[in-house]
Amino acid sequence: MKIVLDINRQSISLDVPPSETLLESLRVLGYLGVKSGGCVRGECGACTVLMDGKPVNSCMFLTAQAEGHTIETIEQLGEHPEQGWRKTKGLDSIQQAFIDVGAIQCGYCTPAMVLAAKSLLEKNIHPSEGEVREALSGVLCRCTAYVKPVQAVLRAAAKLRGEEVPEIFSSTGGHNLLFDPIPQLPPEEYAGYDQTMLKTGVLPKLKMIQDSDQFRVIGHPEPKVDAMKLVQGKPAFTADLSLPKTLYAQVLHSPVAHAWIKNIDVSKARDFPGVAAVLTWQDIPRVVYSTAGQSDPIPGPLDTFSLDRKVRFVGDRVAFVAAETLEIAKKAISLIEVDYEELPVIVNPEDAMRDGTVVIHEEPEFVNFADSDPSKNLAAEIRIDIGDVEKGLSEADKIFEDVYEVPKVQQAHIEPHVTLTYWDEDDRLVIRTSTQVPFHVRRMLAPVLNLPIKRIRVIKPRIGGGFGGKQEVLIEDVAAHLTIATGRPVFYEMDREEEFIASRSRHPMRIKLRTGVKLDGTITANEMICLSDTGAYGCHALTVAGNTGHKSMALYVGDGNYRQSPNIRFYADVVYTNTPPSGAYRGYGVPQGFWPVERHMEKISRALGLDPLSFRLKNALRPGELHPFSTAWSEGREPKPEIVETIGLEECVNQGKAAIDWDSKFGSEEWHTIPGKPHLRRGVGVAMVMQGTAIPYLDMGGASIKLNDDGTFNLLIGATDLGTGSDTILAQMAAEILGVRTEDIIVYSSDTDFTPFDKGAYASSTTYISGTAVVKAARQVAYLLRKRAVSMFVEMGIEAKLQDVSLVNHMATLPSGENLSLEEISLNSLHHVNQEQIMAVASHMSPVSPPPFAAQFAQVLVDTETGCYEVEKLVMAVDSGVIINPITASGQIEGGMAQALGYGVCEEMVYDEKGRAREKDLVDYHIFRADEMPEMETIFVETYEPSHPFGAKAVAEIPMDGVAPAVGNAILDACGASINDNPVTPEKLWRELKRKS
Amino acid sequence: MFTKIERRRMNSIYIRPESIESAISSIRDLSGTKKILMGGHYHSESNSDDFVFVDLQALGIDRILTYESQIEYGSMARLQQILEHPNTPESLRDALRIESGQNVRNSLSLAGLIDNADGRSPSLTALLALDPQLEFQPSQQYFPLELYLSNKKDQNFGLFFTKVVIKTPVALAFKSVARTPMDRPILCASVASWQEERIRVSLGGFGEKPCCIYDQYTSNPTASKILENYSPMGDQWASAEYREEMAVVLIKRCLIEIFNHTQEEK
Repeated sequence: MKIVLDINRQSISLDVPPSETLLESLRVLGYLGVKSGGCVRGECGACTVLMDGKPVNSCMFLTAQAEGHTIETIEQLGEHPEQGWRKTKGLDSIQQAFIDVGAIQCGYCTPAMVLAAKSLLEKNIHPSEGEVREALSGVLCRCTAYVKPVQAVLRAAAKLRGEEVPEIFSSTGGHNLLFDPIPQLPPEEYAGYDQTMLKTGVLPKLKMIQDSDQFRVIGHPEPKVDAMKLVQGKPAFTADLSLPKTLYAQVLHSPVAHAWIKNIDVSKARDFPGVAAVLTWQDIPRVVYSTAGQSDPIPGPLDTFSLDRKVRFVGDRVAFVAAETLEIAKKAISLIEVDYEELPVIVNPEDAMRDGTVVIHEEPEFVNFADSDPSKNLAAEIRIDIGDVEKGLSEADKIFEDVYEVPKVQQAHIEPHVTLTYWDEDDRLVIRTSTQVPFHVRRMLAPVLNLPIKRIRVIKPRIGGGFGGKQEVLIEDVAAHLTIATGRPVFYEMDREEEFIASRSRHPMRIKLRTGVKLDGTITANEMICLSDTGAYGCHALTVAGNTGHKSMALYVGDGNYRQSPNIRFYADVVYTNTPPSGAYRGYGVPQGFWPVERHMEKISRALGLDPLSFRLKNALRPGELHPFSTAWSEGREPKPEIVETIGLEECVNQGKAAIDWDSKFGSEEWHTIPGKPHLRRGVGVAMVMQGTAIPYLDMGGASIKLNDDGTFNLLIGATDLGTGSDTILAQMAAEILGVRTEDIIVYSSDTDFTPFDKGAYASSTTYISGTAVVKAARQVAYLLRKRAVSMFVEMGIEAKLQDVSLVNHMATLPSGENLSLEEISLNSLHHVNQEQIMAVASHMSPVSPPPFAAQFAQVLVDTETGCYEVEKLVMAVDSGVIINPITASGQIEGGMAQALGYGVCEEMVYDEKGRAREKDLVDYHIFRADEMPEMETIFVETYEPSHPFGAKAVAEIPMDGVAPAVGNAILDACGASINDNPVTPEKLWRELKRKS
Repeated sequence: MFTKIERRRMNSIYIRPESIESAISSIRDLSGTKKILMGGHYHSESNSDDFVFVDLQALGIDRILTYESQIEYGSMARLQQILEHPNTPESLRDALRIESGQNVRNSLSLAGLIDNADGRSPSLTALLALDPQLEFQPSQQYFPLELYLSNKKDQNFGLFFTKVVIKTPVALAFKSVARTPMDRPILCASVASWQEERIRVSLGGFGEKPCCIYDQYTSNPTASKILENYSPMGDQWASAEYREEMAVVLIKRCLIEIFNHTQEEK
């Protein structure tokens, strides 16, 4: 049908099928700032446009319905202020505010939020925070916790009102020039520190160590290097590239949880017009592999095939289809007839290892790793004994024992898994994919596709959130097999239901804790017995469970003699069930461990009448002590002893308890009650946590830096920025060494053909591992620059020595004041004398994994009649070493806390007895909206980690660890109800209150 | 010059009638599976089917009119429009906010809500307590929402409805239990009260549709009296036992709010 649309004040004539959605049409027309979250009920809002000035989801309208209405997309707003000789009006003030305050992380939902803000500010230039939150309520964001987007809209409103807004970014000043210091504690509490407390609407409080203020770029809230493109909705993501003759892939997913495929009839599908290929297990090579994106050798069983004749969960793969259109592909899927021979189903992990239970993996190709045993449905087994637990328990005055549970939860990145594969002109297979692990994708898929590694190129564009879900080689093989079958480009994007039934998730666990304690609060022994459910395949089975013990059981070593020789046991069985596979999810096993440990510690301290903070700190690991697990476990490899040099935990507790006002709340009956509302009770809770920073002796990242004619640099890295800001952090480190601005570092990541190897974005490693590689490369380049500067100075008749040349402000400078610009040096080196390309490549692997530490606090309001409760405030004080960029780092903490809040409060994936999922969309699987977030506060307590060139440790995963137990402990504090099963739902709380009464 | 997009088949038909009469004749006369577009449909669910899309947006049935004794919502009024209308009861606004974020509220019409929502819908639960009457076409007869929800496929109602009429003045209370403030309710209750001491109570948060559990002319009923002949069901989201006890708590709270409201009015 022929229609005319008014898009961005342009009249556009279309001949469009009546069933086409507005989202589809806009993307075909090139309005690629309109993103798809794969949802079918309009719940994510990534596809927001303004229709007659109001934000709507373009997936909920037919294109034909939009005729007669004005449509605005992000492309109508501002653009880069300089387009060569053409000057533009620059960015819109809302877009600029989003960049200024660091409101952009992965950027996938940013255009939608900017448009929603535009709609609000056109009606109301004086919005309250509540009104801003309501305006953003239709756009789900999994990265930011909405903290900075809300601030961005308020800032833009102020600017539009003509008000002065405080400067946030500066490339010249130190911290003190940027922010108003607002001390939160009396000075005497800072004894021994030389620090400044800083606070604005978007920046965290930062308790700095003196050393970190010497830097020009490090420690500064530089804008993200990718912010400009993301705020404009530029075609930066995998789905934004289209190639001629691209086919669309769909997967037939199993409707049953466990069955042999007796017969598949694909004849009707193959014959359907427009279908290019239908593949079943009979059509492709049978190659066993693991989808877990990890280094070689994969530390887990190989138990997966691209397609198999057996299905092991509802959602498992049965067949692949490629067709001319998505509509035809879906139709073809519906035409495939499958005859299943159903088998008994295991949903409960406790049933998996019972004698006589059905075996889920009996394939002869199964490759064991460590102690996996498919005949027992055992994907992995861990047995770690440190010291003598039985002796420690026998020396205890009291033994505390309890069983805890944590649920399966979803990463829920807003950009679904998406990939595009094609043969290039050299007959090499190109995989353009939204992945955290491009180099692992290349290595792991080569045998599956029967291609040598050298004939595969993996390109990672921007990623619309990953959180571990894209540390999986999950769908690249689907498109690749279909490209091999058809010779044509193939595009495959999961929809939201597929994300829930056929993707990966966090391992659910049942954990038994037994702890021996002296009456003075000394822990004498600590034992964790863990049953982990890996679902139908063993991806990350061993390493996630290993991390559960490695981090959560390492924090409390005991005191006195026990501190010297702690008694710790960690046993884990990781079993197969007929549920969707678990995998990597931000935190990687550690949140599962800290739920029981921190709930347990709280109960012990209360039972013994001890202060919960002092009890924890008494037993916690201290600087200079041996990481207790370092001699016992290293992801299935040879362990090596590791000393923990920096621990800011005690100061984190001090700062966090001040921020939440612990001393006036904890133990105060008056504070706990609400006058006139006896059914409401307030409570406050804490959890202390630690994580890791990369995997020692394993994780490696590389970086390459080259000088350009104008004195700028290309930084090529294999590291993958998921929206965390790692590209920016790495550019800042290079800029610091090379004496230039962050914007003079042009970052490119990642492409297996062009960028150095990096194991990928996981294990909180990029700042630490890839960052050190960048620093090493930058130092080599700096050396070459200084060397050339010396020869140029000498040529000019100026005496100069290498050690006297410093690189500052884009110049090589001598103490005498003489200087050469980097542009002069680069022209000299590239064009004038002894020509050479000044460049360097470096890589880094670490022998240690310095843990970040944190104290997390929560305040709740409990309705004791209903079991409902509201989390009113979250505070996190974290020691992540030196903070390279406070604005991106605090964004990590805020976003992590929001995900962790969901873990504690509402997120879980539930299956019925036939393995069918309850949650298939983002309505039933509720993630927090902008208009229901609690107040959040982030405090960084800096330490200087000596194993990193700038003293940094990890920041990305640790916020996941302590929110749920802090909320659980706050509930206990409020009303005495102690819930062992996470998340604490209203009914669980109500039952516990009822049981107690 | 028309840019041609061929990602889907052209078999479907889209029409946008400009009068109620032409909408009626389009729905009656055109052959094929009809899909009446009233705002806020989920199109990706119907990817591979052929439809006759009849879009009611041009009928002028999105207005909200207030009269002395009733408020009349056009069936195509969007949820956000209803939320922003000054005469919409505050508790209905609360329910609408929980129903969805602002984007969906800007898309979804009252008719779209009524036709698509299930028993877990907070705003449908609140609406049901208000005992709306729906004006159907072509008969122009009014039927209660409650009756329509009991069998939406009954063709005796007519082809589509154009108005949702609520008798006023009315006091409305809405309470829910949920995992977070904006999550789908596990249980929600709504109580409407009119001047003539009519009390009407609905429960939602489960099942295929919310249900009206009480509708009497009486003063000061108790929660247990209201619930004496009704027990909510259990499902994957909550047990029947929990819902049973919560129903008492929520209805009691609604009644107190209604009572306080009535006292303030006096």
